[in-house]
Amino acid sequence: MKTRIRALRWVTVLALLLVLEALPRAGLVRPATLEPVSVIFLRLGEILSTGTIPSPYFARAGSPTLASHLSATLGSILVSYAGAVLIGTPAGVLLWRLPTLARVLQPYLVVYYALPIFALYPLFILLFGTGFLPIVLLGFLFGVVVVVVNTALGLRRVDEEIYPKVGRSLGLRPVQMYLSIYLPGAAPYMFSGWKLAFVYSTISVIASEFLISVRGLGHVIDRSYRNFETANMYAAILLVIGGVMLANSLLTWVERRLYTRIE
Amino acid sequence: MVALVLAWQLLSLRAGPVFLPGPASALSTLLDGLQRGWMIPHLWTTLVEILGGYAWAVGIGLSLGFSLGASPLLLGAYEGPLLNLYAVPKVTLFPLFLAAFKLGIASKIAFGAFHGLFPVAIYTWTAMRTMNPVHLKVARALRLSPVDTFWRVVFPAVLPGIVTGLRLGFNLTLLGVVLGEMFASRAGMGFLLMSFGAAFDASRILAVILALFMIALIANALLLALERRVRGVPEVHLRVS
Repeated sequence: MKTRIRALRWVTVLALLLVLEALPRAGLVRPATLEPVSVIFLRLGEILSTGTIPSPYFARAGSPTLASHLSATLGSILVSYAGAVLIGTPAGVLLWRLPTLARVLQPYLVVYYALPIFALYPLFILLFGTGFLPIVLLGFLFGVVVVVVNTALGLRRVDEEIYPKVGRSLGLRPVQMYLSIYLPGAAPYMFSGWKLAFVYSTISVIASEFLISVRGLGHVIDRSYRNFETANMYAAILLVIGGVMLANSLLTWVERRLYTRIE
Repeated sequence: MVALVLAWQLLSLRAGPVFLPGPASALSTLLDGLQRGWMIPHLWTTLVEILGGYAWAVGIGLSLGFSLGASPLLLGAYEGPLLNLYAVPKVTLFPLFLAAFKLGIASKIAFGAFHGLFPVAIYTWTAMRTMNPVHLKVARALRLSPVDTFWRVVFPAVLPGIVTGLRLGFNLTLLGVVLGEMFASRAGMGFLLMSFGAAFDASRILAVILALFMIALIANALLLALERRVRGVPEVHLRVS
């Protein structure tokens, strides 16, 4: 079964790559729409090895290096993600300590992710100008609530178990209760929230850069698309997707280890 | 709710009404847009795209979810890659949709469907995998036909999981449609947002945001009511994998 699963997965990937290679080569799709996969991979290799995007537009705009865009994107993700975790986690603890507050906020938390938060982006640009701040703010808003909810949920789950009672009968002080009972018990749930916040912040930062910005990988995709630099566009898309998938696999692996530890 | 409106009013007083109009002015701009009609054709475009995209998302998501839920081979091969794809910023792929479906509403419908189908599919196969195997054994012992097994045993068992997926799918379809319109379009609420943004018209931006949030809240109230009927308590838990 395991070998069949692996075989099917690889056959699918290969078939997909072959189709994407064959379509433009056979002339069924114009090269302005889709370049062959081999060309895209070669272009990505070129961008990564030389560190510059081979494009007259970015040369003129004064930001031909990959590093300038990569650092803008990673910086925005890092700041918004750090904000989401550092503010969201204590807020989640607070929500767990104050059940009345939790009950009041419950309906808002349920519908929060239903709102198309990106609609706020043009407003943020109006208020704060194009640049770092509106992107980071949106990334923070997109990531923070999932941290709050998962933290509160995880702590509440620990309360349903026997461990807090054990802790109290051992006469642990409040600090000890947090450090040796609640934190380890709620860790997997909290980590799930942190992981999702990373995913959400990343999505938000890339999407904001994609819509309006002057730097960043999303900006590279957007500009390459509008300038018909198809190979550059697909190379940047590949870079973003590959990077996010790698980070996500890593976080999922850690998450799975945390869950198996408590089971 | 009252606190939220008050906070908005206070922020507006601090930033100045030109940059951030207060709630009253946003609401009256929204009513103006509906009465004088500058918003209405765009509202229709967006609603059509949402409904079209959602229909495809549900159709494709359910078929994908049921196929993967029914076959351990398919689930083993594709669950990981699909979960990973779900976490990717899907906006980056929007140029592909533009290339395939052109600038009109078809590209937004396709993109909205692509956004929304993931939660539908994921919740469906998860519900099928966590189904009680004894129920299937009973169905086999009673010699139910595959069609009967599906409608009388599998479907009722996985319905609670599916309705949650349906709600999350709607939210993502809405997001996908608005993002698509914001990136490249000549009509729709996302297009209005970007053009009012370029024109520094804060009160009209807020009116559009208000309308979009209302669409989201109304649709979610309906879907949450459905969820409550089917499963009792709606799932706040946001973990997917």
